[in-house]
Amino acid sequence: MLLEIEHLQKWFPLRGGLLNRVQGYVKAVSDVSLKIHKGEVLGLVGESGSGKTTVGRCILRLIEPTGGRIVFDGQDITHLPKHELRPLRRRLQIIFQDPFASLNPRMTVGDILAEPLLIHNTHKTAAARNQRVAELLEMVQLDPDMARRYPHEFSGGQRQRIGIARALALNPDFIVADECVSALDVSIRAEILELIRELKKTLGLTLLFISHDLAVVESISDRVAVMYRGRLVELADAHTIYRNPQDDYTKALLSAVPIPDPTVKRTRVPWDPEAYQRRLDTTSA
Amino acid sequence: MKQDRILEVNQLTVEFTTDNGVIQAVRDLSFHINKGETLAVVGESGSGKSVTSLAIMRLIPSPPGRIVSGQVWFRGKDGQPKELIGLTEAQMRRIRGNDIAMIFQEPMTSLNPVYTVGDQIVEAIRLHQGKSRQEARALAIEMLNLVEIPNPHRRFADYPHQMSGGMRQRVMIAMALSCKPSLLIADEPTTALDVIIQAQILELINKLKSEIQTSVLFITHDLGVVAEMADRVVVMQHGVKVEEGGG
Repeated sequence: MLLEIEHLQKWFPLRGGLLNRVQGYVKAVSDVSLKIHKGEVLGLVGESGSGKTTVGRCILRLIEPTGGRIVFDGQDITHLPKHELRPLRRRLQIIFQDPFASLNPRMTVGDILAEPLLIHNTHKTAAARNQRVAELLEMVQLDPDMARRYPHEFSGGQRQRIGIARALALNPDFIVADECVSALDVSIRAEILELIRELKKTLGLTLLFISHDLAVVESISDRVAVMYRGRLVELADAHTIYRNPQDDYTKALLSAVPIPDPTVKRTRVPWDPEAYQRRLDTTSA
Repeated sequence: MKQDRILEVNQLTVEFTTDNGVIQAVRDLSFHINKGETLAVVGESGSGKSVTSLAIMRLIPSPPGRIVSGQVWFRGKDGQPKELIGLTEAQMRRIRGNDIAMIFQEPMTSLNPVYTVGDQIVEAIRLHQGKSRQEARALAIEMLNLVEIPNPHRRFADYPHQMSGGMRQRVMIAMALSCKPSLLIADEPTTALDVIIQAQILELINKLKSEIQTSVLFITHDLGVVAEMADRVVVMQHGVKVEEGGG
Protein backbone atom coordinates (compact mmCIF):
# COMPACT_ATOMS: atom_id res chain seq x y z
CA MET A 1 0.00 0.00 0.00
CA LEU A 2 1.49 3.31 -1.03
CA LEU A 3 -1.34 5.71 -0.42
CA GLU A 4 -4.53 5.58 1.53
CA ILE A 5 -7.19 8.22 1.90
CA GLU A 6 -9.99 7.87 4.41
CA HIS A 7 -13.22 9.86 4.38
CA LEU A 8 -11.58 12.74 2.57
CA GLN A 9 -13.63 15.94 2.59
CA LYS A 10 -13.07 19.29 0.99
CA TRP A 11 -15.55 22.13 1.35
CA PHE A 12 -14.93 25.45 -0.34
CA PRO A 13 -16.49 28.41 1.48
CA LEU A 14 -18.90 30.60 -0.47
CA ARG A 15 -18.52 34.22 0.53
CA GLY A 16 -20.85 37.06 -0.20
CA GLY A 17 -23.11 39.77 1.16
CA LEU A 18 -22.13 43.10 2.63
CA LEU A 19 -19.45 41.87 5.02
CA ASN A 20 -18.15 39.14 2.74
CA ARG A 21 -19.00 36.53 5.34
CA VAL A 22 -19.08 32.80 4.65
CA GLN A 23 -22.62 32.09 3.49
CA GLY A 24 -22.35 28.41 2.76
CA TYR A 25 -20.11 25.74 1.33
CA VAL A 26 -19.54 23.94 -1.94
CA LYS A 27 -18.95 20.35 -0.95
CA ALA A 28 -16.49 19.51 -3.72
CA VAL A 29 -15.52 16.27 -2.00
CA SER A 30 -17.96 14.99 0.60
CA ASP A 31 -16.65 11.51 1.38
CA VAL A 32 -13.97 9.64 -0.52
CA SER A 33 -11.96 6.67 0.73
CA LEU A 34 -9.58 4.70 -1.43
CA LYS A 35 -6.26 2.87 -1.42
CA ILE A 36 -3.59 2.89 -4.08
CA HIS A 37 -1.13 0.01 -4.22
CA LYS A 38 2.50 0.32 -5.15
CA GLY A 39 3.04 0.07 -8.90
CA GLU A 40 -0.61 0.40 -9.87
CA VAL A 41 -2.49 2.92 -11.95
CA LEU A 42 -5.75 3.92 -10.35
CA GLY A 43 -8.08 5.67 -12.78
CA LEU A 44 -10.41 8.31 -11.35
CA VAL A 45 -13.35 9.22 -13.59
CA GLY A 46 -16.35 11.48 -13.26
CA GLU A 47 -18.00 14.37 -15.02
CA SER A 48 -16.80 17.95 -14.64
CA GLY A 49 -17.49 19.20 -11.15
CA SER A 50 -17.55 15.73 -9.59
CA GLY A 51 -14.52 16.54 -7.43
CA LYS A 52 -11.86 14.38 -9.04
CA THR A 53 -9.30 17.18 -9.43
CA THR A 54 -9.94 18.28 -5.83
CA VAL A 55 -9.14 14.76 -4.63
CA GLY A 56 -5.85 14.79 -6.56
CA ARG A 57 -4.86 18.20 -5.21
CA CYS A 58 -5.76 17.26 -1.61
CA ILE A 59 -3.55 14.18 -1.82
CA LEU A 60 -0.61 16.38 -2.82
CA ARG A 61 -1.59 18.92 -0.15
CA LEU A 62 -1.77 21.58 -2.83
CA ILE A 63 -5.06 22.44 -1.17
CA GLU A 64 -5.90 21.65 2.45
CA PRO A 65 -8.56 19.00 3.03
CA THR A 66 -11.46 19.93 5.31
CA GLY A 67 -11.66 16.49 6.88
CA GLY A 68 -10.42 12.94 6.63
CA ARG A 69 -6.97 11.41 6.54
CA ILE A 70 -4.25 11.00 3.91
CA VAL A 71 -1.64 8.36 4.62
CA PHE A 72 1.36 8.16 2.32
CA ASP A 73 3.76 5.25 2.69
CA GLY A 74 2.71 4.63 6.28
CA GLN A 75 2.91 8.28 7.33
CA ASP A 76 -0.11 10.47 8.06
CA ILE A 77 0.48 13.59 5.96
CA THR A 78 -2.93 15.23 6.45
CA HIS A 79 -1.70 17.93 8.83
CA LEU A 80 2.04 17.81 8.26
CA PRO A 81 3.50 21.34 8.52
CA LYS A 82 5.11 22.85 5.43
CA HIS A 83 8.76 22.25 6.34
CA GLU A 84 8.12 18.58 7.07
CA LEU A 85 6.14 18.28 3.87
CA ARG A 86 8.99 19.56 1.72
CA PRO A 87 11.11 16.36 1.68
CA LEU A 88 7.93 14.47 0.73
CA ARG A 89 7.24 16.76 -2.22
CA ARG A 90 10.12 15.07 -3.99
CA ARG A 91 8.21 11.78 -3.84
CA LEU A 92 4.79 13.18 -4.78
CA GLN A 93 4.50 14.79 -8.19
CA ILE A 94 1.86 16.02 -10.62
CA ILE A 95 1.41 16.22 -14.39
CA PHE A 96 -0.96 19.00 -15.40
CA GLN A 97 -3.63 19.10 -18.09
CA ASP A 98 -2.57 22.03 -20.17
CA PRO A 99 0.98 21.74 -21.52
CA PHE A 100 0.64 25.28 -22.85
CA ALA A 101 -0.02 26.84 -19.45
CA SER A 102 2.16 24.71 -17.19
CA LEU A 103 5.58 25.51 -18.67
CA ASN A 104 7.17 28.91 -18.04
CA PRO A 105 7.53 30.53 -21.50
CA ARG A 106 10.61 32.51 -20.42
CA MET A 107 12.65 29.52 -19.30
CA THR A 108 14.45 27.07 -21.56
CA VAL A 109 13.36 23.46 -21.34
CA GLY A 110 16.73 22.70 -19.70
CA ASP A 111 16.08 25.28 -16.97
CA ILE A 112 12.55 24.01 -16.44
CA LEU A 113 13.80 20.47 -15.91
CA ALA A 114 16.79 21.54 -13.78
CA GLU A 115 14.68 23.64 -11.41
CA PRO A 116 13.38 20.76 -9.25
CA LEU A 117 16.95 19.40 -9.05
CA LEU A 118 18.13 22.82 -7.89
CA ILE A 119 15.35 23.36 -5.35
CA HIS A 120 15.80 19.96 -3.76
CA ASN A 121 19.56 20.16 -4.15
CA THR A 122 19.83 16.63 -5.46
CA HIS A 123 22.41 17.39 -8.13
CA LYS A 124 25.02 19.80 -6.78
CA THR A 125 26.95 20.81 -9.90
CA ALA A 126 25.71 22.27 -13.15
CA ALA A 127 27.35 19.39 -15.00
CA ALA A 128 25.44 16.82 -12.94
CA ARG A 129 22.19 18.70 -13.53
CA ASN A 130 22.79 18.92 -17.28
CA GLN A 131 23.51 15.22 -17.29
CA ARG A 132 20.21 14.52 -15.51
CA VAL A 133 18.27 16.85 -17.84
CA ALA A 134 19.64 14.97 -20.84
CA GLU A 135 18.70 11.69 -19.21
CA LEU A 136 15.14 12.93 -18.57
CA LEU A 137 14.68 14.14 -22.13
CA GLU A 138 15.80 10.77 -23.42
CA MET A 139 13.41 9.06 -21.03
CA VAL A 140 10.48 10.88 -22.65
CA GLN A 141 11.91 10.27 -26.12
CA LEU A 142 13.00 13.82 -26.90
CA ASP A 143 16.39 14.86 -28.26
CA PRO A 144 18.69 15.99 -25.37
CA ASP A 145 19.82 18.91 -27.56
CA MET A 146 16.32 20.36 -27.17
CA ALA A 147 17.23 21.51 -23.65
CA ARG A 148 18.34 24.85 -25.08
CA ARG A 149 14.99 25.59 -26.65
CA TYR A 150 11.94 27.41 -25.28
CA PRO A 151 8.47 25.86 -24.74
CA HIS A 152 6.87 27.77 -27.63
CA GLU A 153 9.12 25.90 -30.07
CA PHE A 154 7.39 22.62 -29.19
CA SER A 155 4.11 21.03 -30.22
CA GLY A 156 1.43 20.13 -27.65
CA GLY A 157 2.52 16.50 -27.49
CA GLN A 158 6.19 17.43 -27.06
CA ARG A 159 5.29 19.91 -24.33
CA GLN A 160 3.36 17.25 -22.46
CA ARG A 161 6.48 15.05 -22.69
CA ILE A 162 8.42 17.89 -21.04
CA GLY A 163 5.74 18.09 -18.33
CA ILE A 164 6.16 14.37 -17.74
CA ALA A 165 9.96 14.67 -17.66
CA ARG A 166 9.66 17.42 -15.03
CA ALA A 167 7.40 15.22 -12.89
CA LEU A 168 9.97 12.41 -13.15
CA ALA A 169 13.00 14.61 -12.39
CA LEU A 170 13.23 13.68 -8.70
CA ASN A 171 12.40 9.98 -9.05
CA PRO A 172 8.97 10.27 -7.42
CA ASP A 173 7.08 7.31 -5.97
CA PHE A 174 3.66 8.67 -6.74
CA ILE A 175 2.31 10.87 -9.54
CA VAL A 176 -1.08 12.49 -9.97
CA ALA A 177 -1.81 12.81 -13.69
CA ASP A 178 -4.69 15.27 -13.92
CA GLU A 179 -6.37 15.12 -17.35
CA CYS A 180 -2.87 14.94 -18.79
CA VAL A 181 -3.94 13.89 -22.30
CA SER A 182 -7.29 15.71 -22.56
CA ALA A 183 -5.85 18.67 -24.46
CA LEU A 184 -4.14 16.47 -27.07
CA ASP A 185 -5.33 15.12 -30.42
CA VAL A 186 -6.17 11.41 -30.57
CA SER A 187 -3.01 10.23 -32.32
CA ILE A 188 -0.75 12.28 -30.02
CA ARG A 189 -2.83 11.11 -27.06
CA ALA A 190 -2.13 7.49 -27.95
CA GLU A 191 1.62 8.21 -28.06
CA ILE A 192 1.62 9.90 -24.65
CA LEU A 193 -0.43 7.08 -23.10
CA GLU A 194 2.03 4.59 -24.55
CA LEU A 195 4.90 6.58 -23.02
CA ILE A 196 3.24 6.64 -19.59
CA ARG A 197 2.59 2.90 -19.79
CA GLU A 198 6.22 2.28 -20.65
CA LEU A 199 7.54 4.54 -17.89
CA LYS A 200 5.26 2.82 -15.43
CA LYS A 201 6.82 -0.50 -16.36
CA THR A 202 10.47 0.59 -16.38
CA LEU A 203 10.31 2.93 -13.36
CA GLY A 204 7.66 1.11 -11.35
CA LEU A 205 5.52 4.26 -11.07
CA THR A 206 2.33 4.51 -9.08
CA LEU A 207 -0.24 6.82 -10.62
CA LEU A 208 -3.56 8.39 -9.85
CA PHE A 209 -4.86 8.95 -13.36
CA ILE A 210 -7.65 11.52 -13.39
CA SER A 211 -9.75 11.87 -16.52
CA HIS A 212 -13.29 12.39 -17.74
CA ASP A 213 -12.56 10.22 -20.77
CA LEU A 214 -13.63 6.66 -20.07
CA ALA A 215 -11.77 5.12 -22.98
CA VAL A 216 -8.49 6.73 -21.94
CA VAL A 217 -8.90 5.54 -18.36
CA GLU A 218 -9.72 2.01 -19.48
CA SER A 219 -6.61 1.84 -21.64
CA ILE A 220 -4.22 2.71 -18.84
CA SER A 221 -5.71 1.78 -15.45
CA ASP A 222 -5.46 -1.34 -13.32
CA ARG A 223 -8.41 -0.27 -11.19
CA VAL A 224 -11.01 2.43 -11.75
CA ALA A 225 -12.87 4.66 -9.26
CA VAL A 226 -16.00 6.53 -10.34
CA MET A 227 -16.96 9.81 -8.66
CA TYR A 228 -20.29 11.59 -8.70
CA ARG A 229 -20.89 14.95 -7.01
CA GLY A 230 -18.10 14.60 -4.47
CA ARG A 231 -18.64 10.94 -3.66
CA LEU A 232 -17.08 7.71 -4.75
CA VAL A 233 -19.89 5.60 -6.20
CA GLU A 234 -17.98 2.60 -7.53
CA LEU A 235 -14.45 1.21 -7.41
CA ALA A 236 -13.38 -1.98 -9.14
CA ASP A 237 -10.85 -3.57 -11.43
CA ALA A 238 -10.74 -1.86 -14.82
CA HIS A 239 -11.80 -5.05 -16.58
CA THR A 240 -14.78 -5.68 -14.29
CA ILE A 241 -16.11 -2.15 -14.16
CA TYR A 242 -16.24 -1.76 -17.96
CA ARG A 243 -17.88 -5.12 -18.55
CA ASN A 244 -20.08 -5.39 -15.55
CA PRO A 245 -20.79 -2.06 -13.87
CA GLN A 246 -22.83 -2.29 -10.66
CA ASP A 247 -23.74 1.30 -9.87
CA ASP A 248 -26.60 3.03 -11.76
CA TYR A 249 -24.51 6.10 -12.50
CA THR A 250 -21.60 4.04 -13.82
CA LYS A 251 -24.04 2.16 -16.04
CA ALA A 252 -25.52 5.36 -17.46
CA LEU A 253 -22.07 6.85 -17.95
CA LEU A 254 -20.67 3.85 -19.81
CA SER A 255 -23.76 3.45 -21.98
CA ALA A 256 -23.53 7.10 -23.08
CA VAL A 257 -20.11 6.73 -24.69
CA PRO A 258 -20.46 6.85 -28.48
CA ILE A 259 -19.15 3.76 -30.28
CA PRO A 260 -16.97 4.43 -33.36
CA ASP A 261 -18.86 1.90 -35.48
CA PRO A 262 -22.01 2.95 -37.35
CA THR A 263 -23.32 -0.62 -37.47
CA VAL A 264 -23.44 -0.92 -33.67
CA LYS A 265 -26.39 0.75 -31.98
CA ARG A 266 -25.79 1.46 -28.35
CA THR A 267 -28.60 1.14 -25.87
CA ARG A 268 -28.48 4.01 -23.50
CA VAL A 269 -29.34 3.29 -19.87
CA PRO A 270 -31.88 5.89 -18.71
CA TRP A 271 -30.48 8.43 -16.29
CA ASP A 272 -32.45 10.24 -13.61
CA PRO A 273 -30.09 12.43 -11.59
CA GLU A 274 -32.73 13.49 -9.03
CA ALA A 275 -33.72 9.94 -8.12
CA TYR A 276 -30.09 8.90 -7.98
CA GLN A 277 -29.17 11.81 -5.69
CA ARG A 278 -32.07 10.97 -3.36
CA ARG A 279 -30.82 7.40 -3.11
CA LEU A 280 -27.25 8.56 -2.44
CA ASP A 281 -28.47 10.88 0.32
CA THR A 282 -30.52 8.21 2.06
CA THR A 283 -27.77 5.56 1.97
CA SER A 284 -25.11 7.90 3.38
CA ALA A 285 -27.34 9.49 6.04
CA MET B 1 -25.65 22.98 -58.87
CA LYS B 2 -27.65 19.77 -58.70
CA GLN B 3 -31.27 20.04 -57.55
CA ASP B 4 -30.82 17.78 -54.48
CA ARG B 5 -27.81 19.66 -53.15
CA ILE B 6 -27.98 22.26 -50.43
CA LEU B 7 -24.30 23.18 -50.35
CA GLU B 8 -21.45 22.80 -52.76
CA VAL B 9 -17.90 23.85 -51.90
CA ASN B 10 -15.58 24.03 -54.91
CA GLN B 11 -11.79 24.23 -54.65
CA LEU B 12 -11.81 26.41 -51.58
CA THR B 13 -8.45 27.76 -50.40
CA VAL B 14 -8.05 29.87 -47.26
CA GLU B 15 -4.78 31.51 -46.22
CA PHE B 16 -3.59 33.10 -43.02
CA THR B 17 -0.70 35.55 -42.86
CA THR B 18 1.44 34.92 -39.80
CA ASP B 19 4.84 36.09 -38.57
CA ASN B 20 6.30 32.96 -40.10
CA GLY B 21 4.84 33.54 -43.54
CA VAL B 22 1.62 32.60 -45.27
CA ILE B 23 -0.10 29.41 -44.13
CA GLN B 24 -2.76 27.64 -46.15
CA ALA B 25 -5.27 26.47 -43.57
CA VAL B 26 -7.54 24.97 -46.24
CA ARG B 27 -6.23 23.93 -49.63
CA ASP B 28 -8.29 23.18 -52.74
CA LEU B 29 -11.17 21.69 -50.75
CA SER B 30 -14.32 20.44 -52.48
CA PHE B 31 -17.34 18.67 -51.04
CA HIS B 32 -21.12 18.87 -51.07
CA ILE B 33 -24.08 18.29 -48.78
CA ASN B 34 -27.38 16.86 -50.01
CA LYS B 35 -30.78 17.97 -48.75
CA GLY B 36 -31.61 16.49 -45.34
CA GLU B 37 -28.19 14.94 -45.00
CA THR B 38 -25.64 15.10 -42.18
CA LEU B 39 -22.08 15.45 -43.39
CA ALA B 40 -19.37 15.03 -40.77
CA VAL B 41 -16.00 16.69 -41.22
CA VAL B 42 -13.37 15.06 -39.02
CA GLY B 43 -9.73 15.82 -38.43
CA GLU B 44 -7.25 16.70 -35.72
CA SER B 45 -6.75 20.22 -34.44
CA GLY B 46 -5.17 22.33 -37.15
CA SER B 47 -6.60 20.23 -39.96
CA GLY B 48 -8.74 23.12 -41.19
CA LYS B 49 -12.19 21.84 -40.31
CA SER B 50 -13.26 24.90 -38.30
CA VAL B 51 -11.75 27.27 -40.85
CA THR B 52 -13.89 25.54 -43.50
CA SER B 53 -17.08 26.21 -41.54
CA LEU B 54 -16.08 29.82 -40.89
CA ALA B 55 -15.30 30.29 -44.58
CA ILE B 56 -18.77 29.06 -45.54
CA MET B 57 -20.26 31.59 -43.11
CA ARG B 58 -17.79 34.23 -44.36
CA LEU B 59 -16.62 34.71 -40.78
CA ILE B 60 -12.87 34.33 -41.40
CA PRO B 61 -11.19 37.18 -39.51
CA SER B 62 -9.54 39.33 -42.13
CA PRO B 63 -6.71 40.18 -41.68
CA PRO B 64 -4.94 37.81 -41.03
CA GLY B 65 -7.22 35.39 -42.93
CA ARG B 66 -8.26 35.51 -46.57
CA ILE B 67 -10.35 33.35 -48.87
CA VAL B 68 -7.95 33.10 -51.80
CA SER B 69 -10.00 31.10 -54.27
CA GLY B 70 -12.96 28.79 -54.64
CA GLN B 71 -16.73 29.03 -54.57
CA VAL B 72 -19.37 28.16 -52.05
CA TRP B 73 -22.75 27.48 -53.66
CA PHE B 74 -25.66 27.44 -51.29
CA ARG B 75 -29.38 26.85 -51.82
CA GLY B 76 -31.38 28.88 -49.31
CA LYS B 77 -35.03 28.72 -48.31
CA ASP B 78 -36.04 30.39 -51.58
CA GLY B 79 -34.60 27.43 -53.50
CA GLN B 80 -32.28 29.61 -55.58
CA PRO B 81 -28.56 28.74 -55.60
CA LYS B 82 -26.32 31.60 -54.46
CA GLU B 83 -22.56 31.90 -54.49
CA LEU B 84 -21.62 33.07 -50.97
CA ILE B 85 -18.01 34.17 -51.44
CA GLY B 86 -19.09 36.91 -53.87
CA LEU B 87 -21.95 38.29 -51.77
CA THR B 88 -21.78 41.67 -50.05
CA GLU B 89 -21.60 41.80 -46.27
CA ALA B 90 -25.23 43.03 -46.13
CA GLN B 91 -26.48 40.12 -48.26
CA MET B 92 -24.44 37.72 -46.18
CA ARG B 93 -25.94 39.05 -42.96
CA ARG B 94 -29.41 38.10 -44.19
CA ILE B 95 -28.24 34.53 -44.72
CA ARG B 96 -26.39 34.07 -41.43
CA GLY B 97 -28.69 32.91 -38.68
CA ASN B 98 -31.63 32.76 -41.09
CA ASP B 99 -30.61 30.32 -43.86
CA ILE B 100 -27.42 28.99 -42.27
CA ALA B 101 -27.20 28.76 -38.50
CA MET B 102 -24.24 27.78 -36.43
CA ILE B 103 -23.64 26.26 -33.00
CA PHE B 104 -20.23 26.43 -31.43
CA GLN B 105 -18.21 24.35 -29.02
CA GLU B 106 -18.37 26.75 -26.11
CA PRO B 107 -21.91 27.42 -24.91
CA MET B 108 -20.34 29.55 -22.18
CA THR B 109 -18.77 32.12 -24.47
CA SER B 110 -21.25 32.14 -27.33
CA LEU B 111 -24.14 33.49 -25.24
CA ASN B 112 -24.20 37.10 -24.11
CA PRO B 113 -23.97 37.12 -20.29
CA VAL B 114 -25.91 40.38 -19.80
CA TYR B 115 -29.11 39.37 -21.60
CA THR B 116 -31.56 36.65 -20.64
CA VAL B 117 -31.53 33.59 -22.88
CA GLY B 118 -35.09 34.35 -23.93
CA ASP B 119 -34.19 37.85 -25.12
CA GLN B 120 -31.33 36.44 -27.16
CA ILE B 121 -33.59 33.99 -28.97
CA VAL B 122 -36.20 36.72 -29.51
CA GLU B 123 -33.51 38.97 -31.02
CA ALA B 124 -32.62 36.33 -33.61
CA ILE B 125 -36.26 35.74 -34.51
CA ARG B 126 -37.20 39.42 -34.79
CA LEU B 127 -34.11 40.24 -36.82
CA HIS B 128 -34.75 37.65 -39.49
CA GLN B 129 -38.47 37.06 -39.49
CA GLY B 130 -39.85 40.51 -38.69
CA LYS B 131 -42.24 39.17 -36.09
CA SER B 132 -43.80 41.26 -33.34
CA ARG B 133 -42.42 41.08 -29.82
CA GLN B 134 -45.27 38.86 -28.61
CA GLU B 135 -45.06 36.48 -31.58
CA ALA B 136 -41.30 36.21 -31.21
CA ARG B 137 -41.62 35.52 -27.51
CA ALA B 138 -44.18 32.76 -28.11
CA LEU B 139 -41.94 31.21 -30.75
CA ALA B 140 -38.89 31.41 -28.45
CA ILE B 141 -40.75 29.57 -25.71
CA GLU B 142 -41.91 27.00 -28.24
CA MET B 143 -38.26 26.51 -29.29
CA LEU B 144 -37.12 26.11 -25.66
CA ASN B 145 -39.81 23.50 -25.29
CA LEU B 146 -38.67 21.78 -28.48
CA VAL B 147 -35.10 21.42 -27.19
CA GLU B 148 -36.57 19.84 -24.05
CA ILE B 149 -35.79 22.53 -21.52
CA PRO B 150 -38.10 21.96 -18.55
CA ASN B 151 -40.33 24.93 -17.53
CA PRO B 152 -39.57 26.95 -20.68
CA HIS B 153 -41.77 29.87 -19.45
CA ARG B 154 -39.64 30.28 -16.35
CA ARG B 155 -36.30 29.48 -18.04
CA PHE B 156 -37.00 32.16 -20.67
CA ALA B 157 -36.02 34.80 -18.09
CA ASP B 158 -32.82 33.03 -16.98
CA TYR B 159 -29.40 34.51 -17.58
CA PRO B 160 -26.80 32.18 -19.14
CA HIS B 161 -24.88 31.80 -15.85
CA GLN B 162 -27.98 30.36 -14.20
CA MET B 163 -27.89 27.38 -16.53
CA SER B 164 -25.67 24.31 -16.76
CA GLY B 165 -23.43 23.69 -19.79
CA GLY B 166 -25.89 21.20 -21.29
CA MET B 167 -28.82 23.62 -20.85
CA ARG B 168 -26.84 26.44 -22.46
CA GLN B 169 -26.04 24.26 -25.45
CA ARG B 170 -29.78 23.52 -25.74
CA VAL B 171 -30.43 27.28 -25.78
CA MET B 172 -27.85 27.67 -28.54
CA ILE B 173 -29.58 24.96 -30.55
CA ALA B 174 -32.99 26.57 -29.93
CA MET B 175 -31.61 29.89 -31.15
CA ALA B 176 -29.95 28.31 -34.18
CA LEU B 177 -33.09 26.47 -35.23
CA SER B 178 -35.57 29.27 -34.42
CA CYS B 179 -35.45 30.55 -38.01
CA LYS B 180 -35.69 27.01 -39.44
CA PRO B 181 -32.41 27.24 -41.38
CA SER B 182 -31.76 25.00 -44.39
CA LEU B 183 -28.26 24.30 -43.09
CA LEU B 184 -27.05 23.91 -39.52
CA ILE B 185 -23.29 24.06 -38.93
CA ALA B 186 -22.36 22.38 -35.65
CA ASP B 187 -18.72 22.96 -34.76
CA GLU B 188 -17.75 20.46 -32.01
CA PRO B 189 -21.07 21.14 -30.25
CA THR B 190 -20.57 18.48 -27.57
CA THR B 191 -16.83 18.57 -26.97
CA ALA B 192 -17.12 20.66 -23.80
CA LEU B 193 -19.90 18.49 -22.37
CA ASP B 194 -19.94 15.36 -20.22
CA VAL B 195 -20.75 12.09 -21.97
CA ILE B 196 -24.28 11.66 -20.61
CA ILE B 197 -25.17 15.23 -21.64
CA GLN B 198 -23.39 14.68 -24.97
CA ALA B 199 -25.57 11.66 -25.71
CA GLN B 200 -28.71 13.70 -24.94
CA ILE B 201 -27.62 16.61 -27.16
CA LEU B 202 -26.75 14.29 -30.07
CA GLU B 203 -30.14 12.59 -29.83
CA LEU B 204 -31.76 16.02 -29.75
CA ILE B 205 -29.94 17.23 -32.89
CA ASN B 206 -30.95 14.05 -34.73
CA LYS B 207 -34.58 14.44 -33.67
CA LEU B 208 -34.79 18.12 -34.64
CA LYS B 209 -33.02 17.49 -37.92
CA SER B 210 -35.86 15.31 -39.12
CA GLU B 211 -38.54 17.59 -37.63
CA ILE B 212 -37.26 20.82 -39.17
CA GLN B 213 -35.73 19.10 -42.22
CA THR B 214 -32.46 20.87 -42.07
CA SER B 215 -29.14 19.60 -43.40
CA VAL B 216 -26.26 19.43 -40.96
CA LEU B 217 -22.55 20.06 -41.35
CA PHE B 218 -21.11 18.39 -38.26
CA ILE B 219 -17.54 19.15 -37.31
CA THR B 220 -15.87 16.91 -34.77
CA HIS B 221 -12.69 15.05 -33.90
CA ASP B 222 -14.55 12.17 -32.23
CA LEU B 223 -15.14 9.18 -34.50
CA GLY B 224 -17.65 7.76 -32.03
CA VAL B 225 -19.79 10.86 -32.54
CA VAL B 226 -19.36 10.56 -36.33
CA ALA B 227 -20.64 6.99 -36.27
CA GLU B 228 -23.71 8.18 -34.42
CA MET B 229 -24.54 11.23 -36.51
CA ALA B 230 -23.20 11.15 -40.04
CA ASP B 231 -24.60 10.01 -43.38
CA ARG B 232 -21.29 10.76 -45.07
CA VAL B 233 -17.83 11.67 -43.78
CA VAL B 234 -15.03 13.93 -45.01
CA VAL B 235 -11.63 13.41 -43.39
CA MET B 236 -9.25 16.37 -43.35
CA GLN B 237 -5.56 16.59 -42.55
CA HIS B 238 -3.33 19.68 -42.77
CA GLY B 239 -5.98 21.58 -44.71
CA VAL B 240 -6.54 18.92 -47.34
CA LYS B 241 -9.37 16.43 -47.81
CA VAL B 242 -7.71 13.02 -47.54
CA GLU B 243 -10.78 10.80 -47.73
CA GLU B 244 -14.52 10.94 -48.28
CA GLY B 245 -17.06 8.17 -47.89
CA GLY B 246 -20.55 7.06 -47.00
CA GLY B 247 -21.61 6.14 -43.47
